[in-house]
Amino acid sequence: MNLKKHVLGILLAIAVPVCATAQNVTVKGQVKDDAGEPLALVSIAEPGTTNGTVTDLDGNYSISVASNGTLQFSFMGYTTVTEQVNGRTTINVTLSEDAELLDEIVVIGYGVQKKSDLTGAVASVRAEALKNISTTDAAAALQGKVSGINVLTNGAPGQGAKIRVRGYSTNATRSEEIDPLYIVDGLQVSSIQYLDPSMIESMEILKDAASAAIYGAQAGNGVVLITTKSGSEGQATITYSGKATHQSYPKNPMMNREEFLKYKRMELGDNKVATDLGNFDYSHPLYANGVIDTDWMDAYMEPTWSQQHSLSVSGGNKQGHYFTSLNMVNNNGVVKGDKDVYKRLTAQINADYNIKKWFQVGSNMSIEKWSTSSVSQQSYTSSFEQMLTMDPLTPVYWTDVNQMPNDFRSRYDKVMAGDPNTPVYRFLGDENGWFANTLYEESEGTALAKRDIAEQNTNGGFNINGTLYANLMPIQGLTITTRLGYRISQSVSHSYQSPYYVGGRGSSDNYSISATANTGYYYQWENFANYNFSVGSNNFGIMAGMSYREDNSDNVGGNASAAPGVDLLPSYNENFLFLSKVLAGATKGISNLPTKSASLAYFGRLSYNYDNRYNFQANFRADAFDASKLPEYNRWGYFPSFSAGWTISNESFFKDNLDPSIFNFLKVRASWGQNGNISVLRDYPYAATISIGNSWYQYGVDQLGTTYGSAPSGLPNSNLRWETSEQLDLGLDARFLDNRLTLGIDYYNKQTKDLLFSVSVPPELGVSSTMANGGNVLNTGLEFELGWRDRIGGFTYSVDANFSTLHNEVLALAEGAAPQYKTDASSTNYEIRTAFEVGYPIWYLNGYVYEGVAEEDIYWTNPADNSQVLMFKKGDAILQDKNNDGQIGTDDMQFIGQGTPTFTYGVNINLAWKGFDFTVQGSGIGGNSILPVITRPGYRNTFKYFLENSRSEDNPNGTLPNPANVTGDYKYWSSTANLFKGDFFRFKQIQLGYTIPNKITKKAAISDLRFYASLDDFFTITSYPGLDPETASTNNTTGVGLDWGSYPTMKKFILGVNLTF
Amino acid sequence: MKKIFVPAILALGLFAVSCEDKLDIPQKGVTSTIEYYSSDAEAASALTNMYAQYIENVCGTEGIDNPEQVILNYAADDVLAAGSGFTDHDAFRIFDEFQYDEASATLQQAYQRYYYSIYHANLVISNFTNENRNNLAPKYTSAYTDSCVAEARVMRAYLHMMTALIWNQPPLMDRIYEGDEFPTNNKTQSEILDWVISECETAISSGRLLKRNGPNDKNSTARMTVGFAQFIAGKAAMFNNNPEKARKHLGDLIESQDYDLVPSNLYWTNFHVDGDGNCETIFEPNFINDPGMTGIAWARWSLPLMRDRWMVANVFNWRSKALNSTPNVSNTDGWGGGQIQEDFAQKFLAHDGNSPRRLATFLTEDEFLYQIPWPDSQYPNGTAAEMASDTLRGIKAGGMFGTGKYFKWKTMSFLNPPAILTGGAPAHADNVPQLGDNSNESNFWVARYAEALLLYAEACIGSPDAAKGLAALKAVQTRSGSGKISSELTFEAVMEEKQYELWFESCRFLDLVRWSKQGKVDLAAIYNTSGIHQHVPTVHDKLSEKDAQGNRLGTVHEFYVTYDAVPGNSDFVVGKHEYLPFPRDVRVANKNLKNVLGWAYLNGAAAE
Repeated sequence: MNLKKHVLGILLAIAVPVCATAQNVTVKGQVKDDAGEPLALVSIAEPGTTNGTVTDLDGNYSISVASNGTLQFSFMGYTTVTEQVNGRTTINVTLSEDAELLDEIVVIGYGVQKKSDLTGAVASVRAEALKNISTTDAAAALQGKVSGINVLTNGAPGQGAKIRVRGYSTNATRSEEIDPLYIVDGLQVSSIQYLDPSMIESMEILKDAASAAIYGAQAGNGVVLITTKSGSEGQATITYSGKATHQSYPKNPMMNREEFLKYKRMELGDNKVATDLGNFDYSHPLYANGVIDTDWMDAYMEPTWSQQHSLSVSGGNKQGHYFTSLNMVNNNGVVKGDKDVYKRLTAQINADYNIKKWFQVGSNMSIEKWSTSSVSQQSYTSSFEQMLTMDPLTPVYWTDVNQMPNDFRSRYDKVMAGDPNTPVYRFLGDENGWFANTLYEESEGTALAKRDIAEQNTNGGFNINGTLYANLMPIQGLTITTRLGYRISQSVSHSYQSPYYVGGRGSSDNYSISATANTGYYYQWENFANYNFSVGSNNFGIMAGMSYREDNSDNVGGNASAAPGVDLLPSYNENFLFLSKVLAGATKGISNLPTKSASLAYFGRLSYNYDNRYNFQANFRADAFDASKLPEYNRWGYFPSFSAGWTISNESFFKDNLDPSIFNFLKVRASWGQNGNISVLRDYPYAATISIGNSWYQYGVDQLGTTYGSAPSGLPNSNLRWETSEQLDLGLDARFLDNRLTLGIDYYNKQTKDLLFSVSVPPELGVSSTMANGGNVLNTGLEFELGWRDRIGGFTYSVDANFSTLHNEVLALAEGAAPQYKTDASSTNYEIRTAFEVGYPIWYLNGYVYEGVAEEDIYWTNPADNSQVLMFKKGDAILQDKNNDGQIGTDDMQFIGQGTPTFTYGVNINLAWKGFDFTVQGSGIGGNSILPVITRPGYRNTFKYFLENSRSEDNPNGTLPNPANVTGDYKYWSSTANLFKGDFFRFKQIQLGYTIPNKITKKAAISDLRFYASLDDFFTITSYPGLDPETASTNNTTGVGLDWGSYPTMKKFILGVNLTF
Repeated sequence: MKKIFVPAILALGLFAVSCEDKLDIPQKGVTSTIEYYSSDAEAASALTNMYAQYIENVCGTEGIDNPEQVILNYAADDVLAAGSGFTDHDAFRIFDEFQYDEASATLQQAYQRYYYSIYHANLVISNFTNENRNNLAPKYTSAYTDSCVAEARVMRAYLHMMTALIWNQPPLMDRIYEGDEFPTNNKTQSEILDWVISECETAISSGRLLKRNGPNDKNSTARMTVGFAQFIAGKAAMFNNNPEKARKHLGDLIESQDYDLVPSNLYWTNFHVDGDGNCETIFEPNFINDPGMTGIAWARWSLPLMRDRWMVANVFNWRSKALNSTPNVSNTDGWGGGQIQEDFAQKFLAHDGNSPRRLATFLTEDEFLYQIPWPDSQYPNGTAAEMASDTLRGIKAGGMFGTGKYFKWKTMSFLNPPAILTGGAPAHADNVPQLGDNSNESNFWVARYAEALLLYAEACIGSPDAAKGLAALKAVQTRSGSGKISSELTFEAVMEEKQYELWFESCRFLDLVRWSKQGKVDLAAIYNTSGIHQHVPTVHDKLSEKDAQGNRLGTVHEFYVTYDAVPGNSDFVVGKHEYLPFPRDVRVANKNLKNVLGWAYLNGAAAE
């Protein structure tokens, strides 16, 4: 850690300009690069003092300095030059690009390492790459930045992004089970959503097993290491950055009234539609000519502005460093009203102090206060599903009681008349009227009604995350670290709902109220020592340590509800909506269940480098978790790894024979290691126990009185052991053309063995499944990173691109395990499933294969007697009869696609010229499929695509059958006819910035002032006919690829300012 | 520098820290299996668990309905799946239309729920007798544990009878199986039924089984009793073509005089809360609203909801969306599943007229329109002419799918039991307020005396006990209020009476299969040539329907029916559809399980 701090301090010191103070000689001059072009913003400092300045856009500077003083010229990416003043008043300097600085320091877990010495696959993202991005979520900031990482985002405010490192390889059903391990400044955290990207100095992703092995049992999904910023020596700097973000929503892919009616006539017939319109359509004053034609996206969403402010102060001297930052986010999403809001206030306080030359203490702490409220999405009858599927024939509002349907009207009249037998329903609406509901179908209400059903639904709390550490450096090269990491969290949620009526299917007669308070504390105590020493050209590094972690949580919840006709509270005014006010007649419930988990680990690393040419490293970790996962006799897991690197460019035959202006650097790496995965084990699956009192029965028919029963808690498996992934990684790093062109290539092969599986057992054994080890999942892929940076005159530019492939395949299931199917969309009646099966990617989409429209009647020939059975009538959708039995059934369901991508890529382009900077960033995925489960029979809207491609008189060559032939045919809708490419490329950011010349700003004591405008997530290239291919792909683990209607990624226009004093 | 070696050594000492004992975090709320099953209290706890598991599994809700109830009733010829249309309730509809396959989730639920319940009965038997894998002696026995074992034995026998009737040759689980064992299904249906009878006889003869203490003894109806053991033995014997054995056990049951038919005017209570534990009940798993349990948040949202068959009211109530307003007999949205088949309703009406039995089973057009309360209508208490033109009662434009001019009534969940049944007397609501309008507190229907009488009557045909059998038949006929009393005991009379008496009580389909094996009925004729799947009705109301110009088709309520055919092949395949296949996942998980008869072709099929 010490070395890391030191290096980061230097990096920051280089980057941070310092204000000038008066001295006795004024030195002027110009700073240029090797090509003779002036360099702006070069930092000029008088070492040992707080005196300094920066060059202007023409490379000129002026500074007062002691005539016998020293000036240090530094600029990111260039060698630092030190000049003695010796009474001179003009000093011109030429800075050369620094190849060594390309060789940054990376954090590797319980230590740091030079990138050139790395033997594993570690991706690193520095603070510069995280500047000025619109996301407030550290995980989302990684999107498109490095290879081998897929970042899944969702458009809703406060929805944390998820990182997938080299895909995933475990039979997990819960998203958190396949999250990587997150370590922030040495502290393990469950999410990095609290971290604003502006507070981050670097993010390292340990992709290969050898790098991750130092984290052993929890590293199976990769490791993300984050280092927050620290202060640098020199004058304190104050930095403010602020931005205002205008968010708007993407295109509407659904049908309007005319299109919708056309489609329904095809589906239901002209007569039926005419009759239904005769029954239900009416003239509405809020629509042109009285004809209702509702754009539900427009009705539900509106563009919004949100803000983000960040203020930081940092500084330091030889004794210590500090960095404090305050960051405020207030994001009110595009759903109308204030029901989708994320607010966050984060303070980061980092400090270290050198008490003695051999003793340093420090603390990193982050305090977060957050609150969020959200609207439903990605589920059956969620608000976003309703937004998509609601017909355009339904108005947004009923403006007159005569527009209400009978059932609604009669309740409305009764409530207005104060009928004592009718619950005091809320009839949802706003100043424009009551929220209308469709008359054509059963529906729980429009998106607006769904938004407002819960009157109060808040969730918020605070977290304090941090570490306290001490470094002891008794002899040269040895650092002994003891570090206490802690997390303290508190959160409270409240909800309240009173009776409401939207329609027969969307109503409640009850009052209900609930509140839950959660508290938690976590601590980890880690002690480790790093010892580095050299003997001649032999450089050794030894690290050994231990870690104990304990996580405690407790919660108390209460809820109350009142049956129809019974009062819950003495008053329903806002200041009465508390559990303490609940009346005696209400039904009350309470809950409390504290949890505790713990783990213990010993770990070590040996590294050896010979002459900067040969690197070897070995890691080892022994991990044990508490009894809830594995029994004492199987508790310990051992995770070794080995890796080696050969820096060929440091060999004399390379140096002697290759022109360094053409080929500068070449290294090859190989690593092998084992990681574990523990997250799918829980609840003592090995223990034969009886659950006491977990069931009850009443023997008396009339009398109350419950007798409790007890039974075995499951079918235990005493042989459970760790799930282990083994990964081989081969890599190559090269730089060409004076380091301007960089290339990184990695190949990996990861096999996850002894997969923890819920194995189906015959139900006659009393349970449906038991946990077992078995099965094998393969992940392989190639990763390329290519970068080019150069300057032409005053124009500097860089282009970085990355591309990764991901092949994922289940090689084997546990013995006795059947393929597993998940029918996440069963509530929609769709038959589509996801499956975990040998020979296919994890949780692939299992459905029917559509083979086109039947041009004539198609018969199946029964092989038994050659009889002909009519299978598809002319005009029907032909589905593949895979097992040739003359029937289309679940036996014919097969691989039709996968929800996870087979390749990901990203591009980052940076241009700078005379104070202007321009950035283009983009990322994309491909090879994945999306099956929307949106289309339903009857008067429900769907994508325009289906109108455009369905066969009709107007469109005799349509590739899809006439809707009449497939309405409600969930086999068809679960087939490739309804399967779309999920590929997309999104311009994450197009940003133009301008930095005001220093000679102007310094008059206001401002050392750096930059304005920028940015288009984030503004343009997307995709063929997906739905709302947003990105958020459609981020459903849970087993349902990935199913589009339910999700909060789309918002298009953002950002205006921002960065200010440094 | 030397002084720093002291803290350095201290720091190194930190590495020696071991916290392994901190990993021994005990599990909450459990105890070790090793010491358990060794006292009367623990036997009581195991027995309670058996009932709890049974009511939550076999009788509980699966998503939106109960697998046994939909499979056995939808497959009958006098029920239509109905709902909102041919794409509604697909998971159940397939059993009505014989379009299911081995992957059906409802099928799987049905199977595993029976066997989970059997397993929990076996926990009592295998732990308190030596009927376990290695014939180990139990840790503890007493007179009390013997009675628990007797109850578990009857429960296990009953469940095996059901699995044998549904799957023909399912595994016989006569003890707890351990994790490394795979059940086999090599016993024939007949052998299983023989075993069922013998188990019931063992329990009866043990003398440890509770006996009902007269028709007013309610509390013995919620658990296994001698009477239920006799009923199961008798029913199993009938299905095993052994009427003599059936006569013995059912005769004993009748002669015990512990059971009786409720009066005609209370027939309807058999299907609602007011009838729970009545004199006619032989066994019904008990669910009552105990605020002690339904009031606890976690409990409310888990177990009681399953027990009260949450959403069963939604599934079976009339389709609210098809109605012009809501009659206040029920307060929840209905989805209109499981309608009475039109031809059968017509026949029933012709036979029973306005008998209390028919009134409890379905309503006619007039009763539906004018004899139940429509409080939200224009004229809730209007004159005949006003009500006839009242646009806020009756059926909406678009019609009510799956329904002819007859409206099933027996399976509705009542919020306000209607006067047409109660005669105005006070009666309980079926739902539990804390669990919502769509809950149903009435006990799950398993065995009532009327079925025992009709089984006995059938068993007596052509036997020396024919007179007793006729008396049993007459008792049911008399009580029905139809006025049709048989003068002789014939198969046709019993069959017909049973269909009226026990509509939607999970009997008809199993009986049809049984009778077809005895050559008494022709399943192809009943299901296929009768065209019941080609004439699926939708009832419309002329007062509501408009033409394309927006003009109403009539000025007063008048129902008319249109028909559609089930899409796809809905034929009953003789030799196949009499029994269900084993669920695919169960077959794949158990190498010993083999399909039989018309499903045997699935054996060896890959798991896809």
